[in-house]
Amino acid sequence: VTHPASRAGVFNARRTLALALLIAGSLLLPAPAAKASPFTTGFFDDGAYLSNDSGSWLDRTAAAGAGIVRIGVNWADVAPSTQPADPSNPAAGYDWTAIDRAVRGASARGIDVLLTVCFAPAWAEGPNRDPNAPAGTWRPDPNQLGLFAQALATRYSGSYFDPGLGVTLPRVRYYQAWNEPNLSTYLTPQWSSGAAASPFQYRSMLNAFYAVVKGIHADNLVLSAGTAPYGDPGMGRRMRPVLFMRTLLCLTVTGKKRTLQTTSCPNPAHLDAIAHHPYAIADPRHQAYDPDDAAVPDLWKLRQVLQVAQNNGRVLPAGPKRFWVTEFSWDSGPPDPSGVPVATQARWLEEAMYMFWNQGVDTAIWYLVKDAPPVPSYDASYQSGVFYSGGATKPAYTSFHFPFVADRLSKKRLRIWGRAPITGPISIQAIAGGKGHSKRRKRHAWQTVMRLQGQAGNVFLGTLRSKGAVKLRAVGPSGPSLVWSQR
Amino acid sequence: MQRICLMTVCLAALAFPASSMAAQVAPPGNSGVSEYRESIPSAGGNTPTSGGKHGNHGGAPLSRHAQRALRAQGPSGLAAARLAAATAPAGSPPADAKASQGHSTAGSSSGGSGPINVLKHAAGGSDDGGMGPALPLLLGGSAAGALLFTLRRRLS
Repeated sequence: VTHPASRAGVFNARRTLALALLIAGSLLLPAPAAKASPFTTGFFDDGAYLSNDSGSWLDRTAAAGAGIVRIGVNWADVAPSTQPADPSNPAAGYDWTAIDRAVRGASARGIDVLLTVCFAPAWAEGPNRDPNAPAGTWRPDPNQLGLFAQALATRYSGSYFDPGLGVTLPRVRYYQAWNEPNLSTYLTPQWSSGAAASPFQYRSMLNAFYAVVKGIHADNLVLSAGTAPYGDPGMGRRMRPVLFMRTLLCLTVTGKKRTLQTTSCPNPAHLDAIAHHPYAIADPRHQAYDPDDAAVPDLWKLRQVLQVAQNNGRVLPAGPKRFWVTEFSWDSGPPDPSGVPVATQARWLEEAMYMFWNQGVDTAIWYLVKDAPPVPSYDASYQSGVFYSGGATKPAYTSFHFPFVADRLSKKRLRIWGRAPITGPISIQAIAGGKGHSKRRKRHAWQTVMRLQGQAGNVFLGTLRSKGAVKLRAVGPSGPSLVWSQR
Repeated sequence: MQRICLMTVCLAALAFPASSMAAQVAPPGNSGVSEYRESIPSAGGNTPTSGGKHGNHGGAPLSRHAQRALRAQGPSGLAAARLAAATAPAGSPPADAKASQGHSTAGSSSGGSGPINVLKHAAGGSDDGGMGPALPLLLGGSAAGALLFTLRRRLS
């Protein structure tokens, strides 16, 4: 019979041996490849950035390490109620007050801005309007959208002097044409005469938008609208995003293997980057059930459609295209009783960022910097902020600021991935996982298993030899990441 | 004869496709938002499983306590809760609500296990995806066929 104390001793000895092997193994590996690549992160939160209190939220946004904020430009709200004589003139009766405040505030803090235009004023909607269509969604006139985009991109060209403000407004480089055009909430009709209608309508809008925004600055970047992740069976109010993107880019699928084929395309879509909104009904590893829906692990479907379109001249101009995620999030509880625990929200945030990067995304924008008020209810509003509404941080603040993830490549190998918040040395530290360690021992058991140099806003990568459960963290000049538990 | 019975059952199953059987599941904490619900195949028909306030009124099969306990277990617990919600029969009340209702629900049309409801469920359930009276007829026919086949083999 083994005495319990000696059994615990054997157990701890095994743990120590496992950690020693991890350290020794990692030291035997060559230095991690310097595969630093920029990975931009940001927030979309009109409730915060378009409010009178935008300054304090932009301060917190900068502190969180965001490189970009997405600002919604509600065309119908900004435009006058009747059509102006020259809609392309920024001074033609538009109300830019809230947009100016957000753009100037972000620029003053060194944060880039992405402007997303959506919702047409009544005078810019198409004929034969369905009375049930949401306001601003019915066949928006592409020419009018182009004229408005000209006013917008001129105002934020970096050389536009506003005599009323007495200042030259800062430059905005990133523009996005519309929001979630595969949903009836934003674009109607989705279907017409038994066939898809919204991708064709949207292509005309996107091309008009692209031409004027690029005409003002050739190095402006135009994104297609972020697609919503799920559609309805049949011809419902929501078109599945992969079907929408295929049709937009003049492709179709044939056969059981769903081979992509080109269709005729007299006026291909013009864009510099595509965007998607992979909200998930469960954790980030959850795959969409339908082949034409796209959750976090399914971004390859959209990337594949884009690649085939590029290879066949179905998207212009020729050349590589970027891939952005312009919305993703999970609600946390507290405060939302049906949200996921705050620790889970934090882990899913950084895990999703890693999965985006792994699928070719270079910019990821989290929906909400702060929790929205529960109006009309928690379930019909978003409590996905990295800050509570009062300004206190959640664990997701740390995982947004310094995301760090391990991914098991095999039984013996782990990939570590992270994004450095600031430039400086980063230590990867490990502690053997599982039970058997006292709290005191855990506190003092972190061992450095890898050192690397981080560049602000860039991804760092490495490979570790490790078997079994282990806890890892990255420690940089600004402090540690959250602890990543790996099985 | 065996082949005929088997083919009959298979053909009958194919005659009632499951394509219309889909449930809608919302991201955690957003059951009141319709834009980001995923339509997933389930046995519960194509009625959304979570439409009410806090997603637990007339749709979710788990009590609030059970949901909280599962969520506390992290991703696997949450996945289990989602699976339960996705595959629950449409309109099934939460477990704690069932307990508090006692016998009053036994004969109601919305659920319960009374003899009328048992017969109703046997005759095809309450949603659009059910087979209606065809199911008991099909089962009865198959049983009679199997019985005849067995008797014939014993007699010969």
